[in-house]
Amino acid sequence: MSELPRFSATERLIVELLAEHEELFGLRMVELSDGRLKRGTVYVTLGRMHEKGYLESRQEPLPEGAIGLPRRLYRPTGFAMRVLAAWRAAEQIYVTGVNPQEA
Amino acid sequence: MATTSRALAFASRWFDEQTVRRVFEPLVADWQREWQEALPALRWRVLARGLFAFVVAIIVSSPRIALTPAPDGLTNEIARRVTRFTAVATALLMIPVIIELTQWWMKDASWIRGSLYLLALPGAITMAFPFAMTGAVDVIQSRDVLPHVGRAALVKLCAFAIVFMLIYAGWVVPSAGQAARTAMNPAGMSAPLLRVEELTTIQLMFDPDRATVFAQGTYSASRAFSIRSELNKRVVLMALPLALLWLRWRALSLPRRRWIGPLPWMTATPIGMVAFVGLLFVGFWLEKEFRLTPGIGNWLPIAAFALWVSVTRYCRPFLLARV
Repeated sequence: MSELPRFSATERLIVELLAEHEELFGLRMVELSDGRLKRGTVYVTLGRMHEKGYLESRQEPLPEGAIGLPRRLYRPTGFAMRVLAAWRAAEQIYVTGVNPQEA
Repeated sequence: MATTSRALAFASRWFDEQTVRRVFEPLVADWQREWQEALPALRWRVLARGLFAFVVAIIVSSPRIALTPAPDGLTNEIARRVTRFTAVATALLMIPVIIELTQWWMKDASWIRGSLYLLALPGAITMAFPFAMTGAVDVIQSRDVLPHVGRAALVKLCAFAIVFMLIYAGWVVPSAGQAARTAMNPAGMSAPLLRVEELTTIQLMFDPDRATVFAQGTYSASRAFSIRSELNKRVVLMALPLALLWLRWRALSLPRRRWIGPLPWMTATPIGMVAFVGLLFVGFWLEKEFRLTPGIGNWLPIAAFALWVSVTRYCRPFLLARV
């Protein structure tokens, strides 16, 4: 059996935020994280998670009158959601001693 | 917003396409939109916060620069040029030492002289090595590589130069000095007195009492002044290859024409060496004449090189427009 893929605390927080809000851009995640995500590092983490296959992204169409680069919106992949669910289940077993799938 | 465009252009010059697309483009896009949506009076705050985030992202992503592979054969070519130049320049710098030792020093003790020649070598290498950087930059710039690949090679060369100078100027040269003192001591005599120049950087910082000979008769004769001056000299020697790398890189990156452009490295390097030595003496003279902070005179060549970079950056396009 292969090992459960690892999540860093930041990666997990990002996936949890995305699971809750479906699609977010980097700065919005920083705002929603109550200071737990930092603006200077969040994009590096997002890039790394993209490489690991935890996230997929698309460019938001530029609103009328806006100039510059289009923002990038991120959403979790099915793989990330499965890893999150597995970690949550593992945590529950560790804390309560009860497997939620058996209960 | 010019700052964000400049920031993105900066990132594109230093990082690979994938990092720029995945890290810096989303950062800049969010920054631009935040700036557009902010009240005009609060835009300076958005600018400052975005700039800080950009700098942090650059620092956090910087290990990727070290992981950028150098093109085939580039490392070997740089190593060959640096080694050849350092060997030739060291040989030239050793000529006065050899003449002096042969003519004046310990005429009746030829067996000692051999080891003294050898112990003078590290000092000559330390002076020659930084100037090999000019030729090394030409090797990188002569290759048709992507901007971030060339810059990655430059950063690695900088790191190597710092480590080399740290070891050589801070440990090898002082140790050779100590060994030379011991070699000059007639047999049976107690341990020789040491000058601050003959203490390794570690000894200079944590055990400076080993040095008992200072520059007597000068204003800098005190222990604290001598140590501070020596430490400044070593830091300058470490900064010298970086200054020369930057100087040459900027010179080759600017627009040029037949008569307005950088000199060939074979010409530029000796000019750089003469300028360095001349400015160093001027620095010492200024320091002594105006009783400046000890060791500050060592910094004059580095300051002058930095000034030269700024002057050429603004003057060359101006000259090109006029000619």
